[in-house]
This record gives sequence, C-alpha cells and structure tokens, in this order.
Amino acid sequence: MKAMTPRTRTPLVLASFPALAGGAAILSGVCAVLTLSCSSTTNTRIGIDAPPFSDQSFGSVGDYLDHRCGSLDCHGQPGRNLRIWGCEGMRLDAGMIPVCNRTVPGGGRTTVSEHQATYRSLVGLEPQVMTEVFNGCNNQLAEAGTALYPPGSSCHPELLTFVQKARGTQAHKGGQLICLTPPCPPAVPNPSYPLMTSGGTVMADPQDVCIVSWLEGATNVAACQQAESIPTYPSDASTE
Amino acid sequence: MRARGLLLVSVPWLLALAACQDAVHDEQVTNLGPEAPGVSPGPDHRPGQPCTVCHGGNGPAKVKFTLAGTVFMDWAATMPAVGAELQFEDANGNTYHVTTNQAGNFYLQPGDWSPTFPVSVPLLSYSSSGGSATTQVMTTNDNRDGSCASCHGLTPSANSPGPIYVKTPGADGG
Repeated sequence: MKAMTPRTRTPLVLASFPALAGGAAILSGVCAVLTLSCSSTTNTRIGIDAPPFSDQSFGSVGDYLDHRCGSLDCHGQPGRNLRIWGCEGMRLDAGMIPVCNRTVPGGGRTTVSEHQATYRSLVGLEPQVMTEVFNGCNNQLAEAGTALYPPGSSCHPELLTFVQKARGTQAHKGGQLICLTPPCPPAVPNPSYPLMTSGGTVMADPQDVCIVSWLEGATNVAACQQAESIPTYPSDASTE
Repeated sequence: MRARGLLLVSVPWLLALAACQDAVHDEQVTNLGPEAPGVSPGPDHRPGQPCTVCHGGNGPAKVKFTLAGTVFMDWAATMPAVGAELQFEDANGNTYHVTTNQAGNFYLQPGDWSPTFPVSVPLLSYSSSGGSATTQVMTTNDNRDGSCASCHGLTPSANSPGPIYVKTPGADGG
C-alpha cells in the first residue's frame, strides 16, 4: 500500500518593519512569503509494509473489527482516524444500510470493498510503526515457519496504537476490549481461545490471536471467527 | 490618525465576533428545515430529528437536553410509540427511566439526568392497549452524543440503521 506524503506549507508570518517605511517594502515582503508558501516538496510516495490485502487474509479480521469496534457511534464514522466499514456499522455503498440480513432491502453482508476500505484505514494509521511491526512479525513467521502466539522477540504488535487501545494499555474511550491474562475487568471476556503449546493447551484471547496472526501474515481465521462471536454490548445482547 | 486608531480597535472585535460563528453548527440547524405545519416548538415537535443539534447548548433552542429522541411504532416512522419506556445506564452504572410522550418523543434536561457517556439502553419496552408487551435491548452503546437520531435517522442509509421503533412480531428490519 502506498500513501501520499502531506504537502508542507510554510506559515504566513506578518511582521512589521518600522525601519522599512513604505508600502512597497511590506508588499514585497508579503509577496515573498506568499511565494514561499506555494513551494512544496515533490509528490513523493512512502511505502507501508503491511500484510497484503486479500479477502481471505483480512476478511475475518475486518468482520471482527466491524462487530467489536465498528458501530455507528464508535469507529463506524467517517470522522474517525480508524474508520471501519461493515454490515454492523457504516456502509461504503450509499445504497446499503447497516443491516447484515440480505433479505432486508439495502441489507447484506460486509462486502470485499468494505473489507478493503477498513484495511486501508487500519494500515494507514501509523505507516512507519506498521512497517516496523509487520516486518518483525513477518520475519518471525519466515524463521519459525509458522505463526507464533504469543509472538516471539522480533514481533511487537504492542507498538501499534490500535493494539494498545484494544488491550487497554492506552486510554480508549471504548474501554479495554482485550484481556491477555485473567483476572479480566468486568465486561471484558476471559481468554477463551484454546492454543496448543508444548506445555499443553492454554487459553488466549481470540481477539488478540486474530490481530497478531494477521500481523504475522498468517491470519488465524478460527480465532477471528470466535472473536466475532463476542457480544458487542451488553453481554446478553446476542439473545435479543 | 484617529480613523486609524478606530480601525485598530474595531478589527480585533470583528475578528473575535467572526470567530464565534460555528458554520458547521449553523448548517446542521439549517438542514433540519422548518417546523412541521401545525406543530409549534415544544415537547411534540420535530420527532425523529437529532434534538441536541438545537438543544445541545449551542442554540438556537434555550432549553438544553442531555439525552433525547423519538420512538416509533414502525420502521417507516409513520406512527409514534406513545408511552414507550426506556431505561438508560451510563458509564458509572447510574440508571434513569423515561417514557415517551404523545409524539413518541422523550427528552432529559441536565436537571433530570446528566449521564457520563457511553450510555447504554438496556431496555425499551412497550405495552399495547391490548396488553401485549415487547422488550428490546440496544445492542451497542451510545458513545456519540445525546441525540438518538445522530445514528437513528428517519430513513435507513449507509450511516443509519433507521429510526428507533418498537419491534413487533413479524416486523422487518434491523
């Protein structure tokens, strides 16, 4: 994914020069400043190293994000930095509505275009950090030959702000969503995804496994699907 | 010299005055349109509109609301749900009950309840005259603002699931 660098602008500074009496001097100064303000860097592009987009690799991640984070009052709004599109929140197609049931006029499952729009928003949040995290995690995958959870020493998803907010290590208006180790705060589910390790089966948070595995380049679809089954709010809402 | 002094004094005031204008808010108010024919400003007016655009403290309404909205009987928002009961719970666990009026509207003023967002709606209940009762739960929190219609617009769209309505058996929609 490539992103445009923002055009730089020189601030317009108005200053008075008592020694330079006369409008011509002021006028020429203003013109000079205006000329400077029009100069810009060349239209360079920066690259973002991130897990490549495909609906197979990101679709289940996008569905989980839509379910847990993408409601219309949260990240399902165009004004948010992290924007999430999907059938449980903001739709990309103006002819669709936030209803997943396709039998309802305008309703329907999250589309590939919506997954891609969410992906672009997510990987574009912190281009440099995403690049660093993905390269570390992807190298780990290459070396180990398989995704690791918890990740190894070269994979640091915790550097990403969206991971910090979900884990509750940085202030988040939506609160902590992921709990790595019990005891977990009220309304945050206990780790429930079974992971096979050399020491036996341990329970992990399926949301975290989903995100980390995607960053490693080997999405754990089963974990993402289990994460998607976590009720949005309240805990018994799914029984409605 | 005197004119120049006057100019120097007046320009900052004009700039300050201009800075007080909120073009975005003004546009939001304008977009609400005029009052419906035969309905005066009051508890029954503008059902289904985002109440806190005007009643949020930035005017033009003088009365401020902390939470306000409308409940309808159907997805098409053709009939108000009169006497529907809503229960709110704020981030601190405080709760408040309110009942809709004859227009389906409800509103809370700061003296009634000033919740800490996010607010959840763990219960919307409605009992018909025939005695059958329905109960619903809003499946997401309200992290946004005090207007239900900020998300629940009168017409379903890419950014709105449509109005709040009483789900009856066989009703369609979301």
